[in-house]
Amino acid sequence: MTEITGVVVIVQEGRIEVMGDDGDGHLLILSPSAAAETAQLRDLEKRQARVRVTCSEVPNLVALKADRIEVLDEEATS
Amino acid sequence: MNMHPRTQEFTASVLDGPMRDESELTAHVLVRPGKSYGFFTDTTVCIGCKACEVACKEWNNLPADDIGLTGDSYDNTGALSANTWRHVNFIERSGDGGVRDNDQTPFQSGWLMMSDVCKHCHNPPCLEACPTGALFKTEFDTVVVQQDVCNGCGYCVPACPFGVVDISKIDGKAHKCTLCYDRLKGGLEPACAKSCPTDSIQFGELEVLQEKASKRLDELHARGVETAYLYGVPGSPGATGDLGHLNAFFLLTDRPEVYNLPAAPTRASNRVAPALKAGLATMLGFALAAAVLLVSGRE
Repeated sequence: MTEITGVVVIVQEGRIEVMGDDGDGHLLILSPSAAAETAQLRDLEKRQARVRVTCSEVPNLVALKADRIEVLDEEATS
Repeated sequence: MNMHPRTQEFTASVLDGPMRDESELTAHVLVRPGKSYGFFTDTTVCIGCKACEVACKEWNNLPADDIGLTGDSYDNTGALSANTWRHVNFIERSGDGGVRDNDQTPFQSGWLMMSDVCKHCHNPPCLEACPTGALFKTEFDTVVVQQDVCNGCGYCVPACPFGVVDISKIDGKAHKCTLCYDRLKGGLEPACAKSCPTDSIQFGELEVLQEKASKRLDELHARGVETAYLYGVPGSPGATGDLGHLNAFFLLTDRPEVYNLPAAPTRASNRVAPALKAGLATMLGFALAAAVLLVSGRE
């Protein structure tokens, strides 16, 4: 399990692009075990929400599985 | 160079926002709800650049998967999947006219290239099989999976005669090409068609595309490419078994099977009644046999 902190920049279905504080873009796929629905992700993109994502690696895929998404600030950051 | 008159509206280097009805400039078509849209893929001009694959992955935020050499020509995606919604086939033919032959024919040589995609069937078998209504027909006559409704049952996977729909092993839901539903709603041309440098993938209103395809077919026949034919237009291979027609149709120069396409796809629902009858007849047969054995045993 790793943690990524950054801003949600793109959401497509259950796929999220988080621009991490390290300046790298991270592609994440929402895990079915996460306490979130795909319909809720669009709002995070609109607000450019700052989040902390707990994620795990997935074999044979250039993406991470988002097991937990924590919204760090409720106010829009941009 | 013929430029659309509306390009004069956008002369600034930096625009205030997205262009209104951008598809009118890029694909010469206005995207409006209630009309039928699709793709015409002319394989005779496909150069196998994979710009469509990349554009699709970029726009839809789809991850790369199965990284490595497939050993199958220049194909490195393998097949359509939950993470690959456009797949460029590379088919190397052998023998006369094959890749090693000195004489190559124009309009696809020994190397056949074709960008495969969801066909957005007129009567979609995947939609018929979906028990939750996650698969639906949009206002643009395309077929889309609603991710928040899909329960991952997977009934759509075997129902699709083209092997397009796939269940993701990560989120457990069905995924396939949406014909860029979000882009269409914003008046944009789908990403794959916009990125195609040779216009092998053309986006537009279905009737217009079918007309264009018919003219292109006549032109190719006149230039001696007798093997060219359309796949997925009414009355052609691909539009069989009550599928109606395919909103994403193709111009091919070899048998459908060569391109990994079924020659005569059918709707799975057409097989429900015969299968049920066969099952009932079998049960009746067993019941009769059991009754005969029972009666003969008593005697």
